[in-house]
Amino acid sequence: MSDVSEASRDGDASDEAGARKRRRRRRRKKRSGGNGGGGEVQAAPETPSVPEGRVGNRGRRQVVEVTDTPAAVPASGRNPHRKRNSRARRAKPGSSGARRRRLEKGEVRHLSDFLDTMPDGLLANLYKGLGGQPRRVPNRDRLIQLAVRAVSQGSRLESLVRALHERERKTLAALLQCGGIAHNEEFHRTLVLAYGGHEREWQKAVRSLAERGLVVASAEQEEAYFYVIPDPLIDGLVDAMGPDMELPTFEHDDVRVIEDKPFSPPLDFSITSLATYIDQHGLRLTQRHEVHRHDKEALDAFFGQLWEPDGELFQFHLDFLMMHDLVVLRGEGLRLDRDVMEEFLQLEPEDQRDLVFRALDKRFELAEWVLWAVHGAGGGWVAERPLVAMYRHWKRGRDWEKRYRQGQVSATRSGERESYSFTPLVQSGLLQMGQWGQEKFYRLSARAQALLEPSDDDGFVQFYLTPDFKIAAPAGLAPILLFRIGEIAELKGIDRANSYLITEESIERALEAGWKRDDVLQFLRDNSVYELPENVEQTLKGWIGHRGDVEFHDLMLITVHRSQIKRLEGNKRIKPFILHRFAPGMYAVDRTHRGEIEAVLEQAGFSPAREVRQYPGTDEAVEARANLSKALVEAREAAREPTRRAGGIVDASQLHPVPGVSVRSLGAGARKNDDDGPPEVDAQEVQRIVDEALARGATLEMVYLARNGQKIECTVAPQSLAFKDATPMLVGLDLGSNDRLSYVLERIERLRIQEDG
Amino acid sequence: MNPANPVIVQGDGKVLVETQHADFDRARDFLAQFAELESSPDLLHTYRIDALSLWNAASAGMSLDEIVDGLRALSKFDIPAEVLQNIQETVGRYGLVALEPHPDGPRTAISVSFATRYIQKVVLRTETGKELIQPDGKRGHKIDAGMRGMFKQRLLLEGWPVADRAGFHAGAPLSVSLRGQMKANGKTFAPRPYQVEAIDRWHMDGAPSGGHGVVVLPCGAGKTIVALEAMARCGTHTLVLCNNQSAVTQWIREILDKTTLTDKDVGEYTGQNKQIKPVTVATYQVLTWRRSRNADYEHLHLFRDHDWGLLVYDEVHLLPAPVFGATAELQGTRRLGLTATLVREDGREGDVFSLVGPKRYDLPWQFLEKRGFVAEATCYEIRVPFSRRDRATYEDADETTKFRLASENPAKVDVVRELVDRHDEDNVLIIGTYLGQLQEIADELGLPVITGKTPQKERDVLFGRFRRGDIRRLVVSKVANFAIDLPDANVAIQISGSFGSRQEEAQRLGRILRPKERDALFYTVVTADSKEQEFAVKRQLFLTEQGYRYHIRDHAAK
Repeated sequence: MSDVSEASRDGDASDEAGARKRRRRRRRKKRSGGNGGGGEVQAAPETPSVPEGRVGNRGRRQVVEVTDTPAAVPASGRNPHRKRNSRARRAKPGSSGARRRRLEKGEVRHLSDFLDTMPDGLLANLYKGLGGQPRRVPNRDRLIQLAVRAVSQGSRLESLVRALHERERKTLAALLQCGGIAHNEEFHRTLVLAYGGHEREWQKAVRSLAERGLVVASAEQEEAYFYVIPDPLIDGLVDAMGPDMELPTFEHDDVRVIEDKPFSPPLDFSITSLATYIDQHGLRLTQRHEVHRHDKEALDAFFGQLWEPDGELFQFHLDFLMMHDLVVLRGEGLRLDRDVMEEFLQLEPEDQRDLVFRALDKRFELAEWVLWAVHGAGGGWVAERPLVAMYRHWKRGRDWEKRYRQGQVSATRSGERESYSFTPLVQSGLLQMGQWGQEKFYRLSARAQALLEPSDDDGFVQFYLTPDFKIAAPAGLAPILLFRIGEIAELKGIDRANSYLITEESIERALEAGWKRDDVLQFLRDNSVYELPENVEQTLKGWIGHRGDVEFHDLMLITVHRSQIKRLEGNKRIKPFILHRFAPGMYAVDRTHRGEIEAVLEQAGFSPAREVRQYPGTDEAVEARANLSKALVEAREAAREPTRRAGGIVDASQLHPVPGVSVRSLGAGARKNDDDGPPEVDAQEVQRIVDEALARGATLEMVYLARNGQKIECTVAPQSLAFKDATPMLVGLDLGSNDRLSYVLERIERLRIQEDG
Repeated sequence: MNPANPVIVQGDGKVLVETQHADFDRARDFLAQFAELESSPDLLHTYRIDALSLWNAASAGMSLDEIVDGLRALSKFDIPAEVLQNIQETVGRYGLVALEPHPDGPRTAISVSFATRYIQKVVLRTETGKELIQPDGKRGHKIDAGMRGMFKQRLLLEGWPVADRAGFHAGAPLSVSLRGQMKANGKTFAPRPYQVEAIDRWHMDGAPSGGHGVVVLPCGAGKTIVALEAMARCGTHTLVLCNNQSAVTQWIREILDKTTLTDKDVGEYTGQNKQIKPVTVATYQVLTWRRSRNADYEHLHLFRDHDWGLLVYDEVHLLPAPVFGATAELQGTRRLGLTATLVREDGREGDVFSLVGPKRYDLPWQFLEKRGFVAEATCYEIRVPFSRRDRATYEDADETTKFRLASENPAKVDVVRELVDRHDEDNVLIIGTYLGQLQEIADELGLPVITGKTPQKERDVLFGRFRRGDIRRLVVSKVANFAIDLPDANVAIQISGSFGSRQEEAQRLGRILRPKERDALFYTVVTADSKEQEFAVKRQLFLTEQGYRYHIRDHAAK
């Protein structure tokens, strides 16, 4: 029963929630600008089954677009754009605005099924409670039909609730806060604790509710059982209870704010800033795995605008980063894992918030719901006592639900009087605590406000880049943008506008992290409020040079015939697997998903080739290709004119005179070197020839082995012999370029004096 | 939060202002009253709010509400609570302790007044209060007249900025007024409106709260004229203190050229001449000269031996410590400080505030540039590659000589020739550091050269010819950095320099900032891909921080 009801609640997305999601989508679209933020791949590869009520909605969300901009996918290979098919509601618990009065078809069927399984007596009670007359109904089917109609008319439940006695309303409200389930004896004691009175009075109130069909019981064991509100009634009752479910608010000018940090930017701003700081500075750890004192002091001073030294807020940020492996222990310190950070920042804002709430829950159970409850005060103060009472009901309800599932019916007194403090949420900078007299109050900080209801328009979509290489990035910029700035510039200060400085070192770091020249310049052009200052552009070009203009890729490539390109790119199920679109018809995919891709392609009506083309291919293929190349060379050889073939047959040095033919001798002066250039010489000869040339004022012809390995033929008018670091050098005028140059004697390979004439 | 506004106030008191914003002028004029401009790159200016800047504003009569409301109206984000608190606490403190004229006369004692009994109690308990404040009658308090400066100085350190309303003595009278026509060239002369406004705010129609303070104007804005106007308003014997001998010469030339004073009224008190006349121009160096470290300053008597009615401190941000000491004793005399920036390298801005007076007037150079009072300057960095042979020599050289080799790259000569040809109608200064290089360029282009070795007489001749337009190009060495009498040009070509020195850049740039009919262009020729180019980045940062447009051009290798 419980599973079904959960599914039903998940599917119960209100119009307001839908509108909020649409707004988020728009915002996400707006934010997706910037380097690597293409984000075209939208749908999930796997589509788990969902309740019927979500089908239409899911269909809308799976809109896939194919654009020309390539999607940057993190190194982990997981698709960051994965959409979930179901999402827990993000709204104030019990918020009437988050629910609809009119039930949808699916919900009506669900209600009908639920009532169909209900015992006759309970069904009759419920119908009577809703103002009907069960005795006048001819049969059970008709009774169910009428009961469903009564429940789906919200006004009937409202009338029922209005008619309740105050004590009964309190009881019902408490039971709803407990999640619609409570242990009988313990619930009575909880009510005594919250509202005073005697247990029997509260027992009577519950019975009264039961008589109206609003509360039923589980099977009894030794007088112990659980009170249960039938699941299909809960939403309607929450609506109908209205003010009874809300926390009272308080306003007074003299409420003194305790532990308030005036600058309370959105968490994504501070998380990204801290990640950038760790990326640029690192944090050393002691043997006890605490941040090194010196680093901690520097960090606290740097983040002075955000948190107090040794504050819980910093610890929360650090825990968050470490919990999700955004920051990892490497060597003796903490380092940022850029790939994971990249992946985190590519997540949808809702997913990022889910992770934040999860981290908060680890510090304070049900933290998110506490924040929503305080949020309901609309900016006013919420007194501590009613908040604690509500929180206790939540906690008790969670415990009772667990015990109900486990069949533990016997009563217990543990946790009954447990007190709760919201200090962790205050110290984490999410709640502000106020005091007036002896009473404590809470309200949301700006940080929590931004977390629960991110503004549609943060106002800042670009940063300020000035000609002195400074960047001012206002809080409110998309985190991905902040992180990217941190990749190419040094973070200099955290404040309402973070300050950064682009330096040669920061650009060097960015290049090492994979940035390209054009990426850096384009990023600055696209995201700066004002156009990229000319001097900055020129200087950056000088710093970056042409590094990374040629890249190697390691991937699996799929190609498609040009006639099928549109069909493939337009297919929503194939799209998620495309990691990068190099050109129309040529795409990068994850080789580990090859099987899935083949299946999806086949389902979509394509006929993928069974074999994967290998490069360079099998050994045989490589050999065959080599043979082909060889054959080609031979073919070219063969293409030579028949009359010129003899030239290439024999090495000239192996030629001999035809036997019987006399051979003439050559004079020494007429003897030429093999290539008609200066002869090869050793070091001693070089020294001798150079000395002679200097003495005679003659010119030298030589072949010089340059530092880059190139052999240079040159004619030099020698001027002097010099030593550099004990290496003998010839200094002379290169007659070719008319430059005065120096030559290392050891590198002169061939040398002779050029004779006049 | 209002992202459409032009200002971001940071938690540390810095204020960022978008210069391209429609409300920039309003924001700049507003901020200039209570914040100091820290850097002014194109697009985003940075101001800093600190105690002194707020007290300067408070002394000019600006209220806390004006500051806070104005900031709120201009800011994108909420004003940080700590900044608001700081403004509130700081502004409120100014004038809680004040100096008033004493019935016995200003030469013997000064009355001390307190805003409230509580303030009185707190201040009397301070070290300064215990040492310097004496009871005066039943309820009153006073200090010795000689302690006026020290009292203000020490209370400021304890966080109590004193409003000095004790007034000044008149000084020996001197009839002086500004000429309608300049003596040297007969052209019409009148102070510019902002110069008059600056002196209006300083003088306050002779009220006791006026007559002391600092006027901040950018280079080339005519600070000397402001002082001449002050002399005319006060009509008293004046001592002008400036930074060096060249400045003394220029001051005297300006005084004689633009006022009714003559040679017999104006004297020079320097290392060479020790004249004391109704208007005396002296250097800080001569006043702080002494025979040995333990000896007395022999010339400080100049402050006391004459009945000065006005002291003018040129470049007040360079005021040396002993002059502060002498100034502390002369708080009964009107004082005018002139500077382009209040920021001092030694951090003694507080002493300027206490002893010379609060800032009375501040005008950003963009304002003057827009109205044509200073030239609109554009900077170009031209990168010239080495020849193949020089590149090899450079690569083989050790790190220490690389910079020199790059600075003296012979390929620069061609660039200079091209630039000189391009600006054949302009007055061009070619400025460099290395004498051999300068001589080579002068020989190649057939231009006169002035270095430190050039006799003064020859310099004067060349300067005169350049000023008259007989010659349009001049090659000058480092002497250009300090030679005040160097004539103005509208094009400067820097072929070598230390580049790390901000002062040198400012001085060289200052040469072309005077208003002219033609554009002011500042070229720097650097060797591409060399140490020199690396150093030039620092220079680029400095100039862009100051707000100058900076362009980089590559010069093709021959």
